[in-house]
Amino acid sequence: MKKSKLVILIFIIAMCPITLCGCWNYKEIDSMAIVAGMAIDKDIITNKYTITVEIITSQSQGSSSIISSEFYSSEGDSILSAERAVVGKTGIPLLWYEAKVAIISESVARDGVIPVIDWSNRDSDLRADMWMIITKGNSAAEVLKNKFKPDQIVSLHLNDTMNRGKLLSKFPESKLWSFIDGIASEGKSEAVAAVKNGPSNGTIDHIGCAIFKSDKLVGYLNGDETLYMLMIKNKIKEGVITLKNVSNSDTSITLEIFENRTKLTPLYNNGKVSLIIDIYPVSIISEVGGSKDFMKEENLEILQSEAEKKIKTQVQYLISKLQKDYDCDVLGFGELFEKERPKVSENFKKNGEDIFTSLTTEVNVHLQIRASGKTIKPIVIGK
Amino acid sequence: MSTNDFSNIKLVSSLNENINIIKNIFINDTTIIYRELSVGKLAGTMCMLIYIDGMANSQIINENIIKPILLSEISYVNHSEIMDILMQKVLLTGDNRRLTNVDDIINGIIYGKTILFIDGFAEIISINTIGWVTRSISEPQSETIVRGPREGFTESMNVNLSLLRRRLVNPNLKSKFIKIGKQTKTQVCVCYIEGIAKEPILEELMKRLNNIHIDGILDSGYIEEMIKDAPYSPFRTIINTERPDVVAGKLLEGRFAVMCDGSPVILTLPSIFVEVFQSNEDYYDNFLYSSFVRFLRWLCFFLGTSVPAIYVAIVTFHQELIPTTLLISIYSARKGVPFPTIVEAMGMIFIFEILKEAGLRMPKPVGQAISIVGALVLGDAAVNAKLVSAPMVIITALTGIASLMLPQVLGIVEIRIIFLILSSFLGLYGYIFGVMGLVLHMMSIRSFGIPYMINVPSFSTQDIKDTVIRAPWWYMYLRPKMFTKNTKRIKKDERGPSNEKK
Repeated sequence: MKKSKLVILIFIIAMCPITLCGCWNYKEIDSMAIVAGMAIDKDIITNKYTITVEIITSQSQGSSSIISSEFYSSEGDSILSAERAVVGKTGIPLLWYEAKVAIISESVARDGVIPVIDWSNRDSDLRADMWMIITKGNSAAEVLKNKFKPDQIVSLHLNDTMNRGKLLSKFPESKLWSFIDGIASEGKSEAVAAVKNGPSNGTIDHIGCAIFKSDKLVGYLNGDETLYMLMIKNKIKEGVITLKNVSNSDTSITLEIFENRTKLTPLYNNGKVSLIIDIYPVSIISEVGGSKDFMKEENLEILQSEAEKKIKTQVQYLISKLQKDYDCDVLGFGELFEKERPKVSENFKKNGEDIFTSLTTEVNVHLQIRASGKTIKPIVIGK
Repeated sequence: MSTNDFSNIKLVSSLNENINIIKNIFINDTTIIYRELSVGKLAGTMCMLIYIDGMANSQIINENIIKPILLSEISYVNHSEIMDILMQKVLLTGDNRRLTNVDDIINGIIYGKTILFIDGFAEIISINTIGWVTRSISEPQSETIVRGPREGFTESMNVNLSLLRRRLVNPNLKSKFIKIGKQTKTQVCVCYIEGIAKEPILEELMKRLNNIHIDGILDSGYIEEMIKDAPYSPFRTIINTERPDVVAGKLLEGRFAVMCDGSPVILTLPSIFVEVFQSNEDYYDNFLYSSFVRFLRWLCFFLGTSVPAIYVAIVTFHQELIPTTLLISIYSARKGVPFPTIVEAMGMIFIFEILKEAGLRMPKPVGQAISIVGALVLGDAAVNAKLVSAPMVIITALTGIASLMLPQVLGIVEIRIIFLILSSFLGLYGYIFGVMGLVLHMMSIRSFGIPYMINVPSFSTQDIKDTVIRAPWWYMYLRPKMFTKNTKRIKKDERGPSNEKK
C-alpha cells in the first residue's frame, strides 16, 4: 500500500515538470502560414520597408485540393516590424522554414542590404540558404507577384530556375549565407543573381548578376559577362558559347562546355602585379548552323582558335570593365594575392593602393573540343 | 459431497459397500452406468462395471469386457485368484490396471475409464476404455503457411503427444505429467529432449508449475500467465504455437514445451525476442527469401510501434524537417480538419483496433459487413467529410497492417500508444525517451534465466544466423548456445552441400 502510494507520488512529481515546465512547442501545421518567399522594397518618401510574403494556401474542391499562393504585404521601420504587421493581416503565425527566395529591390540594394538581410541571418526561424535575388527595374513585390497561372507558386518556381542555373551558367548561385560570407572578407565584392519581369505577363527573366561593393549595389553584368566571370572564378559547371559566322563561312557554331578548370597564377615584378589566367574548357560541338564541315582537321583548328580568341577577348573585356567602371573585385583577385603573395598584399595595403585596379592580366585559353554529338557531318542539302 | 479429495476413503472387500462409496460420491449424477454381472456362465462371483456413458467407448465395453466375462467358462477357481484370471485370461482389453486408491478410481471414471469391482476384493481393475470424441486434426487457422506440414494440434493431449512423437522418433523425448487445478485436475505435460535441454531450466519449470494454485485451467494461457517472467511486460517471455513442427523445432534447440489437456495451443520456453520474428516457413523456404522476409518483419516491428509517434512529432513539433512539397501536401490535407493531430491519431488507432477486434468476434457471414463499413465509411467518408486527414488514414492503415505481419502476437499496440503520447507533448525528444525506456526494459527481461534480448546486439556470425537473417541450414552447425550445452548440431566436416564442394 505504502509502496503504491510512493509510486503514484513519484509519477505525479515526474509528470508535472514534463508537462508543465517542458518545452511545449506543439503547433498544428494548419494553424501556420507557410511562407514560400519574400520580397523587400523601400518607400523612398517615408523611408519605410515594405515586406511582401508569398503564402502557400490550398482550396479543397471535393476530394482533391488545389495548391496556390496568396500575397500579404506590410510596412514597417524594420524588417521584423513589417513581418509582425503581416502576421496581423494573416491572423496566423508565419512558418519561415520553407522560404526559398529573398527578393530585394534595386533601390534597397543601392542603399545597402545589411539592414535587410541581418534579420534573415539572425532569426532562428529562417534559413540562410534562401536564394538572394536582386531585381532590376521592377520592384521586388512586382517580381514576386508575377504569376502566369493562378495556382502557381512564384517562389518555388524561382527556386527551381535558380537550381537549374548551372546548365547555362548565366547567373551565379547566390545563397544568402554565401553573400554574407563573401562581403565579410576584405576587399572582396559579391555577385548576386539579378532578375526582372519579362515582356510577357508572368515570366521572370534572369538577366545576369548584380555587382555589390561591400553591401551596396554598384551595377549589373549581363548573362554572357556572368558566364565569363564564373569561368574566371572556376565556378562554371556547364555552359553554352555561341560563335557566329565562323571564319567568314556563314556558319554559326554552338559549343557546349561541360567541364572547365581555371588556373590563376599571381606574379610580382618590379612593383607591378600581374596575373596569368589559364582557362582549360572542355567542350563539344552541339550545333552546327550551316554547311561547312568543321570536323575536317584544318577547319577544326580554325574553329578552335576562333573560339579561344572569343573567350580571351570577352574575359579581358570583363576584367577591364570591372576594373574601370565598377572598381569592384568580384573575381576575388585581391584575396588570391593575400593568400599566395601575402607580402605583396601587405605592401600594397601600406601604400594605400588597390591590387585589383593596378593589376595587369594575361589570358591563355586552352580549349579542347572533344566530340560532335551523334554525327560528325553537318546537315547536307541535296542538289 | 463438497470436497474432491477422496484419498482418505478406503475400499473394503464387500462389493455392496464399495458400490455405496462410489454411489455416494457420484450422488445425483445420472450419467454413470452401473452394470452388475456375474463371472462365467455358471453363476459365479458377482462384479460391477462402472463407467460414464459417452466418455467410455460402449462398443469396447460390450465386446471386450462384458461378453468375455459373461461367456467365460471358469469352472472352479480359487476365489482369490479370480482377479488375476480375469486380467490374464478373460478381458480382451490392453490397458488394465489394479488400483486401490479411491481418488484414482474416481478420476479414472470421470476420464472415461471403466472400473470393474469384484466381490470380495478391496481392489479394482481399471480398464482403459476412453472413447470420447475429439476434433480431427486440421490446419490451424491462426498459423497458416504455404509450404510445410499442415497438421495442427487438437484439444486432446494424447493426439498432441502422438503428433509430436511422430516427428521426434527418439527415446530421449521425455514427457513429465503433472495435474494442475483443484477443480479441473487438468493434465499438463512438459516435453523436452534429454541430452539437449538444460536440467536447471527443467527444475525451475517444474518448480513454477508445482507452485500454481488455481481452481481451474481451461487453456494453456492460464499456465503462461502464472509462470512467465516479467508478468507486467507487453512482451512474451513464453511463446505459443498450434503446430507440431514448430514445437519439434523448438525442442531440438533445447527448449521445453508445455502441453495442457484441452488446449490446442502449446507453450514453448524459454523464449527470446528474436523468436517473435521467426515463422516456421522461414526454415522451409529458400534462405535468401526467408532472410528478406525476416528483415521485413523487423522493419514492420519498427513501423508498427513508431510511425504514428514519428508522424505526430514531426508534423506538430518539427515542421522544419519536412521537405517542402511533402509539407504542402500534409498542409492541404490537414486544412479544415477540426481536431488536433494527436486526437486524430489516437482516434484512428482506437477505431482500427475496434474494427480488428470486431472482425475477430463477429460471426463469419457478418464479417464482410465490418470490412465494408471499416474501409468505406470510416476511411473514405471521414476524409471526405474533413473529419480525418488523409495522411492519418494512410498511417493508421500502415501501422495496423505492419503489426499484423509478425508471426507472434506482441504488445505492439501498447508500445505504439505510449510512444504516441510521449511524442505528442515532447516531440521527437519524447519519442527517443520512449525508445530508450523500451530498450532498457527489454534488456532487463529474462526468460527462465535466459536474457530476452540475447543475440540481438551481437555481430558474431554464429549468433546472428537465425535473427535478422536465416542462414542456410548447412551453416547453422551449432545449436543456440544459451539453451543447451550440447551445441553440436551437425559435424563441422559433414556440413555444407557436400556434392558441390568435392
